[in-house]
Amino acid sequence: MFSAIKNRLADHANQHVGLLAEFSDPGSLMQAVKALRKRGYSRLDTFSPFAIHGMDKAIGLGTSLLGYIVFIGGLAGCALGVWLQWWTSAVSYPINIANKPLFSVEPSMPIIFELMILFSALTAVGAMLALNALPKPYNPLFFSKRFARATDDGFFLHIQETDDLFDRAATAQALSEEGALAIEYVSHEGAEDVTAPDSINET
Amino acid sequence: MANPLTRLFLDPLDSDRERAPRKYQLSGDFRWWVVPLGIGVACLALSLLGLAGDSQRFWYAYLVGWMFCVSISVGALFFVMIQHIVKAYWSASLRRIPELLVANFPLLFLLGLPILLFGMQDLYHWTHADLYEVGGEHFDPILAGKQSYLNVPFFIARVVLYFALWSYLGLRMYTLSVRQDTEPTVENTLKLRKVSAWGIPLCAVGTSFASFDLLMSLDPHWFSTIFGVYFFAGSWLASCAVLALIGLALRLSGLLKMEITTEHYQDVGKFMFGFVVFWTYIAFCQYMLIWYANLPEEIQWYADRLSNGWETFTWALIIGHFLVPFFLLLPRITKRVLPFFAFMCVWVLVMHWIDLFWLALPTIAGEAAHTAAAQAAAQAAEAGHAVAAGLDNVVGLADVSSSQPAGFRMVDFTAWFGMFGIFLGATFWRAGRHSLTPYNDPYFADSLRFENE
Repeated sequence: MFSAIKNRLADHANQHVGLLAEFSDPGSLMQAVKALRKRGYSRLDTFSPFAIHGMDKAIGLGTSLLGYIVFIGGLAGCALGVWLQWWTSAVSYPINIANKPLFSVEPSMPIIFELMILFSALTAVGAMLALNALPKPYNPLFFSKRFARATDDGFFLHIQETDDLFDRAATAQALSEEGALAIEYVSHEGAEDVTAPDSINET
Repeated sequence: MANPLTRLFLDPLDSDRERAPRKYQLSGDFRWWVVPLGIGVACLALSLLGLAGDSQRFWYAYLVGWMFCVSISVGALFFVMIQHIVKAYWSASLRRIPELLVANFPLLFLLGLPILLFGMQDLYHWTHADLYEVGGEHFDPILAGKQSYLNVPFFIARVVLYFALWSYLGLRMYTLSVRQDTEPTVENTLKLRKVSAWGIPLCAVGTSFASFDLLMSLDPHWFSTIFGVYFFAGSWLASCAVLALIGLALRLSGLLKMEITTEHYQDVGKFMFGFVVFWTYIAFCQYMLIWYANLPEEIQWYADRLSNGWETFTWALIIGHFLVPFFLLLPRITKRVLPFFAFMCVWVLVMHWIDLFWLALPTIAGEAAHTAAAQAAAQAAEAGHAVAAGLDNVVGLADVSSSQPAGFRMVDFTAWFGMFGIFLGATFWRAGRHSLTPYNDPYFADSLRFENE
């Protein structure tokens, strides 16, 4: 169990070790993703200044687990609300108000409802961060000078080193065949430009 | 088809069916509208038999069936106006269906006329003249105080006003959009947006007061300011269900398959899910405050609905109008597997009808009790014994209300199917005269591309 968590954390830490390729626009990025998926690569990631419609599907991300986690969080909040209302008004400090039952569903509902919403919202934020392994103050991608433009006008595709098909030279070749402007090998040691000069001239 | 009557009540526009692309024309024949219309007229004729028996019950059934159709058109009107005001593009390809529904208001007014002309005495307790004879046996000081609002001429004037407003807005939405098919201009879209901008707030007030007058005043002693929102929530829900069902019916016969896709149905389903929750939220808000305050003049309305068998209906609403659709509409798959989604639409529609039934019918049982209770309350209030009034209230209820057992009768169903059949018949008749989708709308192309991420 402990080693599984450790492996997972290590996997997250090495998530962005691999080849980083820059593309000129969202369209060519999308095409490159589709082409590389067709070639059999599966551990892909893309970075763009804005969300690109259909990219989730192209990368093959599937449906997020988040909804199910939030549902459980909501149920937990709901249960806590019921318990809180019952315990405070009927057990811990019972007060007779207008001879109404000490615990009844009607006045408790707003508290139950709000706790459910609160827990759902906090679970959504927390689980989103956890699923994305955020916050991530260090990421090897930051070694790449070009990568800063991912928040401005750069469109990047990343292939992990752990991908079964990964081969530094062959994958770089594949990327440039799909129209990459520049390719870098990024690891914990730094970023290294591996763009083949002649392949750029060809395209 | 220049008949002035059909122009006035069914379709103010000439048919432009032939100018639409073939794939957007309602294929098939007159059966699309003759079958529902025939069933509707037959059912309505059948329910007229009920008039010979218990005329009060007939009018209640008629009102519930009529309000069911009115609420669908009201919900569709809000739907269309909101799509325009937020410049929604996802809904452009399915917008013609609610546009066909909102053009039904003149016809609905015609169907409501019998209520105004003949049904008032049986439906609305406050129309009885003897309530207002000072010193008379049935004098009701509370209703006498409300007489300046709840009196027949003013009531009729208000209902006419509501329908004038709805019809104007509805026909404006309908005609401008249909005109867009053959004479596409930017002005049409801008005009639709402009009309929606003032139409939404006005329609909100109008719909709220319409529900006060037509449904809430069935029990004239009771009042709830949130009632209009409650009615609106149910209306939107029902109109989404009808819109999806009409779309699915067209799809079954091979129409609009590429225009209204699974993505669109999923979004309509999301709306339905949202409004299931909103309806519950409003229903509970209304109930909780009244439960908490426990005032005799307010709690009686719920007491009527939680006794004498009506509690079954209350529970049916909690389970069938909230819990079941909440959990069934929550997952993505139930909105995208279209046969199941169609089932959910039918479910929601039936529950909406039960909701309206539940709003109206227990009043018959409670009515006699109310009169007794109100008189006792007035006397007690004069003597300064408010608590005694509350007690009398309960006693009065137990004495009288068992005369009208909770449950459905044949006339409830025949009036409902009758109204809804005529409503659908008129809608499909109109659909056959124009394009099924606003193919020249500026957002139409975007709508076709629409996808849920």
